[in-house]
Amino acid sequence: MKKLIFLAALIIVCALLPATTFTPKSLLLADSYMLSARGCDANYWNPALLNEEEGDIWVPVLNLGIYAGNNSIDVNLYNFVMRQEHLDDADKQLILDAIDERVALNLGGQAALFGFTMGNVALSSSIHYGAKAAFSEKYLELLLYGNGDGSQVYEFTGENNYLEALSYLDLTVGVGDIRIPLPETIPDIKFGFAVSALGGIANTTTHNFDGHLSANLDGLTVHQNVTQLAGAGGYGAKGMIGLFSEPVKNLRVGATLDNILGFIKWGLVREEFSYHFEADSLYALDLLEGTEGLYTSEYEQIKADPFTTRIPMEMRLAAMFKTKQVSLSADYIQGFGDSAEISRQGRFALGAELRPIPILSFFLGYGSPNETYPWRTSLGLGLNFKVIEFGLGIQSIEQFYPGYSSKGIAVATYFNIRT
Amino acid sequence: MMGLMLLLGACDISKPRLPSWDVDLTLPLLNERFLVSDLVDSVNVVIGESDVLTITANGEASTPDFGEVNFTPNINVDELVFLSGIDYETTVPLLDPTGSVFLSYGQIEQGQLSFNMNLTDPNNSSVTLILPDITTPGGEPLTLSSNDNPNWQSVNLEGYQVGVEDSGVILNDLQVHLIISSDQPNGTPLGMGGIRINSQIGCDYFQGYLYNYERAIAGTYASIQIDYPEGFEEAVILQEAELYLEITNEIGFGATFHGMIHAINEDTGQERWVNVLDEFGQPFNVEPAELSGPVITGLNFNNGLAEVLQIFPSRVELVDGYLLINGGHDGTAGFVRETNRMFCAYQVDLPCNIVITDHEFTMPTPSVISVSAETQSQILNRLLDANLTLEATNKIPVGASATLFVGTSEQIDTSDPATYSFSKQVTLYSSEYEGPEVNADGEQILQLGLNEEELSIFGNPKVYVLATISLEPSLGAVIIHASPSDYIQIRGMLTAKVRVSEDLL
Repeated sequence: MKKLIFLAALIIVCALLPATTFTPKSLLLADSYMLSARGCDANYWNPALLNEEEGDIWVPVLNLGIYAGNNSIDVNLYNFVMRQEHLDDADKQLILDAIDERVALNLGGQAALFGFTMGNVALSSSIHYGAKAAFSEKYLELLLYGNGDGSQVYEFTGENNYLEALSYLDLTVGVGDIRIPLPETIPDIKFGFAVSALGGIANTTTHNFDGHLSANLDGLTVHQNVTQLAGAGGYGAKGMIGLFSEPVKNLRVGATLDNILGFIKWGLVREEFSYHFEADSLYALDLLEGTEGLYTSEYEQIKADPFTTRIPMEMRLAAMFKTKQVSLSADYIQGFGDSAEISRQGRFALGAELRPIPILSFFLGYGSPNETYPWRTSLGLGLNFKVIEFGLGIQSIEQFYPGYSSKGIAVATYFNIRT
Repeated sequence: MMGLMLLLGACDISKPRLPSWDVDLTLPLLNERFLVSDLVDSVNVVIGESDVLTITANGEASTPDFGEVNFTPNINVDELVFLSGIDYETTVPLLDPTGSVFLSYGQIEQGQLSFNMNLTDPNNSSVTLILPDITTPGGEPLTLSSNDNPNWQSVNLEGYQVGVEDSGVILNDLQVHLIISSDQPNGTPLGMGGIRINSQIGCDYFQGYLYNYERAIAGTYASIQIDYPEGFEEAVILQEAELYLEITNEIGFGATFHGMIHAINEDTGQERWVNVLDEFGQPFNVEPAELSGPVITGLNFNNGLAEVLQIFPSRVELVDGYLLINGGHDGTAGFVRETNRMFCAYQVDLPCNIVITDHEFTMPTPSVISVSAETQSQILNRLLDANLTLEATNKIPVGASATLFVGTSEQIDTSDPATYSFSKQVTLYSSEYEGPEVNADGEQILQLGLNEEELSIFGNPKVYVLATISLEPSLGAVIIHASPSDYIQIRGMLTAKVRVSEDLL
């Protein structure tokens, strides 16, 4: 039991909630990275920035980012609970106040497999993995307070109770630095695009979750339906287009539309697990005569039809002021659907790269929250040499710096060879 | 990744352990419909007429075998004069000196006739004495002839018959025919003789009339196996009670039935009696059997019975019972065989037609709740309070308030708080009740709560609960039916505050 608690606590404390598309270096700027990406990174952030002057090679393994987090509990709260001998009502409320409808856990990461650029063309491959799970605050409320005097009816839906995981790898080809022919009075606008072939590794998603619990004079009524889809071995594709311009000196603007026609179709292994439990108007004394006929419990595993995971499109608009010593950027991210990584609710990301000397970069970032994405800050350090650049960074969720109040954390390292 | 580990390592993270906390749990406990008809055990509790719940008891009684009809006619005729050549007929009276038996026909099981013919010259004279009313087993009239014996001689009448079967005519006298022959001139005295029947005549089959003829009825008692609470008889007043007698009569005589119902409450020692009489205060008539077989007479008796049964007896019996025969068979001669009997099956019914008074009564003994060691531990360590909520729908015109006295000793005295730990009261209103406690759908909520201190009593291996019950007084007589619509529906749930700690998980 203690091990389980520890494991749960580790996941909760060491985590970061729903990340969006990222590459390791983008973590250092809290995803305000669309106009900072270069070389292989531009394949994922804005292919218009691919050009002959700024190319690189990804070093596998050393380009790595992982995140884990939750939306509710930080180390302070954990320590507080673990140090209490007894939780009174105020303590319980403190725990529940930290939760907004659900306790959501999220982990994931991205690792580069390879990547290189040739002129304004980049070819890269990386592996993406992410998982998120949530359970309703009502479950915790039940655990802490019980079901009270029986007057409350508990309903559980898939909105707050789910388990989703997705891992895939991509092989992405991007072409950038394509100048759009425009009148001379209009600043240059460069265009780029990237096409990714996606190989689905594994996927699971909660297809259906509904539960009902009531216990009163009408008896104990429990309904629980869960359908979980699982797939392995799939294929898919997505496209991305990007625009970039520098209308005035030192001021850059850009726009991207990612995940165009994005999908992964799962077909090699596809299973549907469904569990159904139903007990209506059950009374304790009924159990004295045996349980037969008092409830229905069915578990079924069937081979599901091939199913497709749609990857919602995401639009980014960004602006960056850049000098030799400093870069300040602001990104606006707007999803057109909901997925493990993307939300319909827009958010901002602000980033700053300070270069007191040419070989040293400090990174700062701030990401604004939306309903599924808690606010965060990032901090990073990078070294830039003529041939190589590398660095590391860290993000703190809902806390300005990593500490006892952080609800999650992300770390990333990057190592690129300039070409 | 290393950064992550460094950060984690730098944090002061407490060892995982689980604090305790309290939760309020509600567990639906029961949803039961307690039908009044469920009380029916088909032995002492039955559904009577019009679906009325009825307490009943059954018993049987019977007469012994009727036996011989006996009488001693005291016939002593000693001066019959025999005159030569003069035959004559005479009669001798055949009467029961007690006036009880009037014979029309009888088959003699025991009896003896004596006669005497003392002739002066028995060699040359003879006397034949014929009794046509007495016939031999072969159907011949009893014929007695003189012989040389001048003394009294006896004839065993066993197997003989007297009278004419089915004639219906009472045989008050026996005819005697004398046939005398002699070589002496007519009128010459030849001697004297006599006839005596002065011992008991017993008939194993008898036709005739019987007066003031008693036959005792003896039987078993009927038990009513119901544990009435102490004082119950003062809380409930019976409005009616009925005694059903079914008398199977093999005896061909009408009779009157005499006896008393004796009720005993063996717990309180109370006893009551009532004579079984009809509404006019007269004994019930019992129909005579027919020649074709027994006749069943059904008798209903209720006069004063409710008062007798008000003590809620544990035993009911028919005592001092006897049949009194006075006459024959509907104005004609009755008949009876030695082995005939009268059987009596009786049933005492107490329909639940009652008036309920405001009187508290106590259950006979406390209920015992055995609590296992594990349960004791759980209650002491985890249960902080418990509240039982019952929603009752009472379709029965009886309500009650119960006070439960809970203690750790069997010796609970409801008037002495030192003998119990605590008491709780719950009230169930009757279907007749109108008040805010009962909603428009007839539902009422009953609450029974126990705090931590009260729950600690269940930390003992045995807990005793003694209930005193006070019925809701009725405005008048109420009748408890046992149809499907007469029930108490109870839905209950248990709400408890429970302490959760690591060792529970």
